[in-house]
Amino acid sequence: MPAKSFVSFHLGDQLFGIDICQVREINRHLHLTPVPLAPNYVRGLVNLRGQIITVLDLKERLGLGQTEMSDISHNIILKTDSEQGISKPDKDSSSIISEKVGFWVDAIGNVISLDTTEIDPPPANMGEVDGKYLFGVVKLENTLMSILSIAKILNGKVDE
Amino acid sequence: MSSLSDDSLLQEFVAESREHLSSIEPDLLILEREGANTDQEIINRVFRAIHSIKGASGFFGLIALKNLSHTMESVLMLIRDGQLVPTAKVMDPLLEGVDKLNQMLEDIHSSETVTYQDEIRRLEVILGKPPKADDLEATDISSNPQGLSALDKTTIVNATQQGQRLYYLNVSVDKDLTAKQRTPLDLLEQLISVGLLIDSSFDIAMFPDLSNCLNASLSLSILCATVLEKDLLAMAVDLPETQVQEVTMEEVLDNKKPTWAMPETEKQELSKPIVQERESAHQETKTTPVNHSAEAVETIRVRVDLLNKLMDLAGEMVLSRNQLLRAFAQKENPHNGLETISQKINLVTSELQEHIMQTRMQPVGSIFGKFPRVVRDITKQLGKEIELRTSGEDVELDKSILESLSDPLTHLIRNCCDHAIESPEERKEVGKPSSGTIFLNAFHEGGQINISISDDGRGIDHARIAKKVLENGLLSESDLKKMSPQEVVNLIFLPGLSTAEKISDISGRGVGMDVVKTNIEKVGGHISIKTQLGKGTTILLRLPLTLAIIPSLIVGACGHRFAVPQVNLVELVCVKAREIPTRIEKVGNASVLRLRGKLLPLVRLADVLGLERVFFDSESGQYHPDRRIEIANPRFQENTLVSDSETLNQRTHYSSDYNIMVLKVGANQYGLIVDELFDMEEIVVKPLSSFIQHCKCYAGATIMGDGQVAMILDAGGILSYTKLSFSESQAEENYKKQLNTLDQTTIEQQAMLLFKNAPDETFGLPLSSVLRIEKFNRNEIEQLGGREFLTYQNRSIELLRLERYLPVKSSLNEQKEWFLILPKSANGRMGIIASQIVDSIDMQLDLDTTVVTNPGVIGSSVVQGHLTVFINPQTLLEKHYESRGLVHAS
Repeated sequence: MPAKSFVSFHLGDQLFGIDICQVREINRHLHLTPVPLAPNYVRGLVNLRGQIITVLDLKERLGLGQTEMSDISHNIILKTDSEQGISKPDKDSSSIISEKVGFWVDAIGNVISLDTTEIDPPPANMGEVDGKYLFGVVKLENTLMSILSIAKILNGKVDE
Repeated sequence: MSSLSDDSLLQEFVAESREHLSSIEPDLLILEREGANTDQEIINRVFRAIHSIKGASGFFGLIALKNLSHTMESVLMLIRDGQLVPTAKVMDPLLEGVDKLNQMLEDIHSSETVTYQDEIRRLEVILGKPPKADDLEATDISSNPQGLSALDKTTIVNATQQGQRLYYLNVSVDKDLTAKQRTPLDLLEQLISVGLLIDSSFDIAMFPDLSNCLNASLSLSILCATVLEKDLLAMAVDLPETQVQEVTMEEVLDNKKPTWAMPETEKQELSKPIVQERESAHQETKTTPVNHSAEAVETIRVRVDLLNKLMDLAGEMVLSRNQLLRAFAQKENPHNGLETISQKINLVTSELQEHIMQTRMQPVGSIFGKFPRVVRDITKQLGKEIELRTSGEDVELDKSILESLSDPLTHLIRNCCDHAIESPEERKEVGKPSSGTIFLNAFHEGGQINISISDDGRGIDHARIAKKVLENGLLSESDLKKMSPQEVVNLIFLPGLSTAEKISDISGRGVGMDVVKTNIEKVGGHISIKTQLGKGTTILLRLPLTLAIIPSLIVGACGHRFAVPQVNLVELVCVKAREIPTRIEKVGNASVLRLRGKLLPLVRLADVLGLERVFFDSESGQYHPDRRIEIANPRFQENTLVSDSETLNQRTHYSSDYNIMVLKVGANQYGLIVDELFDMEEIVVKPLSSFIQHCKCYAGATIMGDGQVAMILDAGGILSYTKLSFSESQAEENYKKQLNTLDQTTIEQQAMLLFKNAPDETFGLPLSSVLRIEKFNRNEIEQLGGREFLTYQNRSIELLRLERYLPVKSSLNEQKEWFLILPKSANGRMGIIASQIVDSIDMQLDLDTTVVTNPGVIGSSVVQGHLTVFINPQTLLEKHYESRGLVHAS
């Protein structure tokens, strides 16, 4: 029974999840430096204890409109592959996080542990989110949680 | 066949072998010079080094390396035993061998594919062996652990005749090396110190699967000869006695191998994966992935005492943090003792930073070391006699600067040999010793590293340079006439100038000094040249200690802040709102600024970045949208959208002034209009995220002093992004020039900065030689040993008073605000004091050189009705250095 934990968060009214092993920390109140000429989904750069992190607006990236700065919006900083101890990129969901990025999200939810066998393959689209950005879907008690495929989200950027 | 690829031991071997080779080279050169009289110790040193390489390469199964080093060793053995006199003829193949070994080590995984048969053949000619086809095969048996070469056999026979005993050692990689944090080379060196290493090989027969052999208990079998008893030998090389076995000469020659018994349990226990314990010792908690591609991770050697110091400091830091946490946790009186804690953290942090910086420092000796060889090869080729003397090898520089210094320095040394030093006959004719000398010297000064290359050669003839410049059409004759000999000499840094009469292999292809200059300036350095015809030349490189930090100007546009590297910045121009109609005009679609008779294309940073333009109203303290569309002539726009709200007063208000940064990109210059100018800041460049890499306008990002991130602007990127065309403005400029030539005879204008020291004496100096001007308060001056300093942005700037070096009046002291003119040549380390900045004007330089004739004075002229003395800041700086007893010229 391979169990995994996921950090859940809200974008609009949808619930999403990221493998907790890929998350370095969750924080807020960082001073964002916007980058003119950058793609819309690049929210800006922040200084995280001497390291520059590119903050992406995940909602914008998934085509769900812009994330508003609010009291409950948070920044999920991801671990890079080397921080996760991955030397070779894996084929599956994880990895190919080659640089320091963070996701700006509407609200943070709980950490949800579940059995990986409970994850169903994603439908062609999940609400307004293109299925290619999803790794799978999990049925929770009264809602669905979409598990994101970080690799697709981070590496599809060239065609934008 | 390197089955042990990607192994940390192999990397260690490469690093150590390289070190050996770099130490061999100078020793070989000494051997060549001293011939038979060479100190035996030097020969032994070379021998031991090559021997270590040979032994270890056998260990790794690197046949090419082993064969070549083996043959080199044979030659060295003859030299050591006095059977061969080390002459240039002997040394050439040996040095070639060293080059080849270096080449193999360069990419160790393909070292087997490097051809080395030529080198071996040349070496064998020295050995007196006729090159035979099967010779190579004879040396190839090294891959076969059972075989011994003919040479090894004679060694064995010799050794036993001298009463030495023969031993087989069985070394387990896991247990004897890794567990004890030793490298194979450590072991071999220990062995060589007590005896003679004859052969070494892997016991690969024990392992059918080579790819996995490091995880198994791999063992190395070594044959050696020594006078020591068995137990002493075991102690000397730190091995259990059971792993040392004495054998007779006959047994060895019969290829009888000892059998080793090893308990099975022990084997299993030891078969844990190899980790490089040395690395884990300095707390590399982040597991960097092993890089499987060809490029190896760059490493640097750091002194252990430095690492210890860092560990201590990190510990201190943790302690302070704990204290801080405790202080905050105290409910009542939480600020109790905070002051001492913050003081401690402050101290520890700065010390920590300083030491971490030190880990990147490497001695310049590491690149100086290769020059004797360069000089030797060139002198042989040219038939000259040149001696290279070096000093200051232990001066330390940042690794990255050091690396980028290697090529320019090689170029300069080659130039010296080729052009500067005359042939022996020529030298005798002018009464110099037939052997020329090149001094290569490194020293600290004023927080910078100086490297000087001086020679006692023929010097640089400025007339010849002038002739060449004319021939190549780089400058006009009238330009040249105005230049001092020193300025003409500086023209050798112009691209496309080579003065060598004949082009040689070594130098003189016209790519040269300009490339050197660009490379030095790229790392934030400065190059200057001083020459005396017939006596010699000194080239001085001034380099910053570290590269990671670049001085930049912070500017603002529409509420965003950006950093502009100072290297791109030529000057800052402020165009007052009322001057805009007269100074900025439109040519085609582009706006241009009239600047000292030239036209400078202009762009707005806000437009480039697609920002909504705002202007800051200092009265209300708010940003308002800026509705000026045209840069030029905002007041008289026809399609004006603004007349309803904007008053004339507002348009001439000072917030409507343009701040223009004149940026240079190669030979082109353009003006970038920004909203605000902040301070100079020294910034650390961080690479761009891949999400914004396509934005060519940025060179990187940085974290500023207040902890916020700012983008670094790329002057070249902005230029290509805006597709600013220089042809239009240039055509216009050419046209204007033509008009000028019709109107009056061509007069070259030069920008001059006019300033005062004493209130009634005016001085001038070329604006092009000024880095920047700072304002300071009199009470900020600090005195130290009769010298005066000003601290600005954590740097000490030494103050230079004109009255000390020129017969002029001293300035009055009661004035509070002063100015400091920082000449470019001093690189921000020294500044000239001025009581008042009068003006910067364009004028034709028509100097009278008879009225004031002191060194440091170019001449005088009447400007705006006042007699003005024009000074040469470079000469004054040199006088200043000399007065401090620091003379670096040869």
